[in-house]
Amino acid sequence: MIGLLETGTGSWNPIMWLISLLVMVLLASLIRSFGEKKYKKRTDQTMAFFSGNPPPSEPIKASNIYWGFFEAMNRYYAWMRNIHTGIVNDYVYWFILTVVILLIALTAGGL
Amino acid sequence: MSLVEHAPVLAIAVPLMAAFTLPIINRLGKNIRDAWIILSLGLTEYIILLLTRDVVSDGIRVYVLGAKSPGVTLPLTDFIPIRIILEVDAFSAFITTASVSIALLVAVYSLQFMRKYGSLDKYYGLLLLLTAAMIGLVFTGDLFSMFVFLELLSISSAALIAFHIHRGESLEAAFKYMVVSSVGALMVLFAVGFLYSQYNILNIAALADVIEYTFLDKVALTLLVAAFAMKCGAVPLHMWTPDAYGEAPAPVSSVLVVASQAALYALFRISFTLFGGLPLIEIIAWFIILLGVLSMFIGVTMAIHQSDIQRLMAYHAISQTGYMLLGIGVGLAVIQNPVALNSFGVKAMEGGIFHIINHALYKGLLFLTAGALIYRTGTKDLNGMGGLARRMPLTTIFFLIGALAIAGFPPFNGFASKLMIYESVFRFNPLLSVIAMLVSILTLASFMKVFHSAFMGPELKEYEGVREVPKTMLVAMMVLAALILLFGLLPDKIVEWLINPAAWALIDRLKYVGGVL
Repeated sequence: MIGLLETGTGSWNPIMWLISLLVMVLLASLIRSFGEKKYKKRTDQTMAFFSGNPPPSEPIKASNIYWGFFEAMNRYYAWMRNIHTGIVNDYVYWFILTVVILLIALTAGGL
Repeated sequence: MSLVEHAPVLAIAVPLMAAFTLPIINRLGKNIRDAWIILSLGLTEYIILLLTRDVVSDGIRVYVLGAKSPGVTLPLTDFIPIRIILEVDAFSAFITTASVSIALLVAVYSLQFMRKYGSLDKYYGLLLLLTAAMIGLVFTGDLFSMFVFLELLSISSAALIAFHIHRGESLEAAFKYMVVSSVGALMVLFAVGFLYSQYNILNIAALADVIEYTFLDKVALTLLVAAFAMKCGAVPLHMWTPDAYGEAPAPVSSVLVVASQAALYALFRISFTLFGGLPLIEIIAWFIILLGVLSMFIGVTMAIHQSDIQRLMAYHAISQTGYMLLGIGVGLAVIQNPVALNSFGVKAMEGGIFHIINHALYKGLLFLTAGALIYRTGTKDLNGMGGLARRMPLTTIFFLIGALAIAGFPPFNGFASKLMIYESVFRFNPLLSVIAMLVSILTLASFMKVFHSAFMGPELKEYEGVREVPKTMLVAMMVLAALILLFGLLPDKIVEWLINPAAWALIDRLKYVGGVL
């Protein structure tokens, strides 16, 4: 069958997936066509829902997105900032540390 | 004499010659210069495709420089190969197919993108040199030439990173890249010295045949693995990557991705072919797996936090390298266990190798879409963008294709390779597979952030006059998007024709040795 990829324990066929998607889109469109058509445009009925609050007038910037995630992961990101110093000497220290760890692992493994 | 017989050396010679003749060609006019660049890279691409078809169907092709016949690897008076030998198998042909394809498309894209800058003969000359270095690094059969091509790759990359010479940040990024690359190259040279001092051989296949895995060999292995892991941007040796990818011109970042993959090739060639018989190879495999997991997780969590579009994509490049290290690392971990290798090891390797070319395509496309945004808005800051889908609809579509592909969304190419990695790695260690899936979710979240902040939302006043990017830039992006769709819709054919032979070329180290001896 065209597109059938063996993935180890199962298989994946993108052609079949696309056909399934098409059938689902057709079904969804059919169900949608039964819906109420007499809603009032440009009223609250068609406005984006923003947790019951008025939508912000300013566009949402990249730095605002996932604010809660970053707050929750604050300690992790503080640690990451400490590691990513931007100083080239530190880059070389990390390299030396990696070499030492790998050499110890290989030497200890051979004992 | 057939073209394919001399293809290994021609693939290196064509871009190299084109680079050194470029200053003269440049004097004949811009159009002739542009045609020269596209023609030379197009010819290189043709040679590579011809060679790939040849090695996939007929097996390894060797080319001995300076010999009476390119196929004579051993001199009549000696039993060891002393000349420089290029050895091309399915894995090396596969890597160069990805590298040269991206270099060609980047050159097409740059025709318009770089038009406003001066010193373009130097820009294209360096791009051609970098292409030659990538091919040389991958095709060479001996360790010292590998070092030489690694140096050529580093120097041309550093100069391209520093292309915006008036910006302090670009110079700083290039300086850091050069320091890190020099340290890495020095370690490679030490390792080559350790091996040469014991065996008097530089040829990889001949070394693999006689290597005794002494303590000095282990030191050499450590230095080589660490140096190439640093060059491919694996965590915790990744620090140079966001600096370099973030400050280079956007199309250059696309080429730096495939340049990192050439280093990844060297890492796997050393681990599988030269040290594949080492009794402690499982330690190296677990080390590569650990680097892979760290790269995936730290790469994506750092990416999601960025607001500079190129730095964000640079961290994603680190994260995606993690998948390749994980998949191929699992294959290496079970290489001495035939049952596990056939049960899931080969599939894990196929997944990892498939991800290499998928990553080259979608990350190449994503950097080019980032370049399109920068070209029109003049900023790399996502906080300064918004509502651009109205003005740049084609770029938006190309970005979405790249973003969904990198996030592993079906039916794009990233999904197929990630699924192979998830399923096979799960049988090795379920936790690793779960981490890989979690990273995919975070990748989707990160690219939705970019999509929302750059393309969606109300139209900003400052971008009211923005138009779609010029045609050559669109053509390059369109070809990459089409390839992503093609690889996503016909993954079975790609795996059968390209990936499976490449995986077995790595696994069967004796075949590589037999190519020379």
